[in-house]
Amino acid sequence: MAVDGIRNRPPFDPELETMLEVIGAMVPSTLTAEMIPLMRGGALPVMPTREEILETAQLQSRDVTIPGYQGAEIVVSIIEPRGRTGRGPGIFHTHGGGMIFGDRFTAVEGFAEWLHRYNAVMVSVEYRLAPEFPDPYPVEDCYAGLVWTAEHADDLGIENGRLLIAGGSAGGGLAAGVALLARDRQGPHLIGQLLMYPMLDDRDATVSTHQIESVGVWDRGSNLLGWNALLGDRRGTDDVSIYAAPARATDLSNLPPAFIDCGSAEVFRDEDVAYASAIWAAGGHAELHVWPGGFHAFEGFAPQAALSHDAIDARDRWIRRLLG
Amino acid sequence: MQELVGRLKVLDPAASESVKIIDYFDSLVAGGAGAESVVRAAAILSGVAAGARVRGRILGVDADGARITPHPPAGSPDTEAPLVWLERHSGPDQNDAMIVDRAQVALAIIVARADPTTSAVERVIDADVSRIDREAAARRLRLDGSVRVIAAPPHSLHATTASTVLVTSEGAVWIGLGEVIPPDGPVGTSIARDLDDLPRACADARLALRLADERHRVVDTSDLGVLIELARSFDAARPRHPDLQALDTLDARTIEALDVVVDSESIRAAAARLSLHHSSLQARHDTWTRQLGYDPLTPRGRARYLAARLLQRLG
Repeated sequence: MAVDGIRNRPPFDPELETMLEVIGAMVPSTLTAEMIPLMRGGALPVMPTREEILETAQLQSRDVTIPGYQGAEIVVSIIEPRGRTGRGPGIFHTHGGGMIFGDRFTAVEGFAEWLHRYNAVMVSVEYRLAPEFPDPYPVEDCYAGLVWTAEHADDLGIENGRLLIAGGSAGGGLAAGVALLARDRQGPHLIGQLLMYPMLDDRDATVSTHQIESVGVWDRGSNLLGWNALLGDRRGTDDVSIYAAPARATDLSNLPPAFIDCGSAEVFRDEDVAYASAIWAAGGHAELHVWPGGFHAFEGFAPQAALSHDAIDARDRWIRRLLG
Repeated sequence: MQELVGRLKVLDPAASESVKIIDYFDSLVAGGAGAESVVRAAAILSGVAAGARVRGRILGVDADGARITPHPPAGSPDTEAPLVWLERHSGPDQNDAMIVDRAQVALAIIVARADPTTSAVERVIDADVSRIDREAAARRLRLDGSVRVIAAPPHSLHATTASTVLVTSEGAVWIGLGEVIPPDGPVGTSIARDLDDLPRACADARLALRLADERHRVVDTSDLGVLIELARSFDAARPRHPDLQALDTLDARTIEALDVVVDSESIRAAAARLSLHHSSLQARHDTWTRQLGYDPLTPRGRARYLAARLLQRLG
């Protein structure tokens, strides 16, 4: 078992805790700057390749170069069921990885079932990563990708007005930031925002971030690494936009319906709960799930656990109501 | 952080060096997991669907962790004990037997915990429970006067009696009340004079269990005499005494020979038991004295050695 950093942390779910040992042997709870190159360094030998992921999920993918922030070239992948014809909903995806690693295929396989069920298409954006490209590059690249997707909805086979945004972890924070940008710039219309354990708050001031130190997955130290890479000296100051750190937004009205989930034993718990509460306070629509004893991204790391099945089912029920 | 998910979900937990099957089930039990979690663990660790029969209820989980409805294998024993099976059709894998065994032990513990008798046992051995509750529990267990407390490793084969399984820092320990010494050892045991003495007897029985080894399968605290005081004083958190450090450096064969020698009437008797000439034993005697820092064959040296060995067994 990992050594606890603080007392009074919610206990991990017993099934997840056993699997945490496997995870802990692979990745330390606290990531440091020296580990960034390693984490970006490509797949482990046992990892399925991008092609294998697409093959298993019966998906096809093509890359398109589009204008990103300030007109620089960035790549999006258009991922859809093999041989897809006709139209369906569109999912714009902002991947996770703490703002500092990951790529546009990160966690893509989790969407495969929905792509098939609804004849949907997914556009996943290769936004530029911090610290080389600090804020506002990541969120602005993502927004540029959303604008491009909406403009090309017809060519992409996206049904009129049926576009949602989805992301996990840092990608959840970016999705929330992009939804705020779309609202404030009168940009593309979104029918929903799927925020999986989103990274929303740079201020390092919640109870949950102090409870998850040197324990679990993506602890406080890792989180500070990610935010410092994104914001540098601005982290925690007044000089941070609501698009970089959506937890700072004071007005969450007129946003697309949100689905937010997180574990009770993760850094993001309190900021995710607060975000849902702020949406409700603003008269908005949000569904919130806090999974007891869940660590960060537990349903991805330990998909066999009962709690993971329940978490994935809850998202699926939300998608069924949204896309029907 | 999600970026790592894809990397790890393809890893088979069973293939990971860091996962010991026993630890995996122990930590589920320690975490208060339910029966289905144990079946799920069996499925994940084996990579095939697992089924269980627990108190007449059938549970099943496939390798992805999803619930299924399995069929108990034909000819499975018709016992009360929990039954676990793996649905592997390609011949058993090397870990299958251990996974099934540990899953059955874990289920036996979970079932035992749910038994009302179990909670009565837990109350009478817990000094922190109020006197009134402990008396009520003792009446339920029909305890009157002295009773033997037995500590043993948790095992589904133990006779069902007034018993429970405690999750302790040394792992799960089965605690039974009465003259029900499990046949398969190791066992530690101590007699409680009365209800007030039960928590003490339970703690001593657990200490005695830790002292049990191949040569002493059953350790009774009444045979230890005042040495139990020494065992009680052991604190793993304290710096290790030099006598223990000296023992830690010796190999298993040396320890075994020393155990025989200090337990013998004379050097000659020890030489006979070890099938050695007494002169070569004499040479070893000099080496041992140097290694230990004292002569283990003087009366005081024997006492030091025996005391150090006792403490070494505790941790």
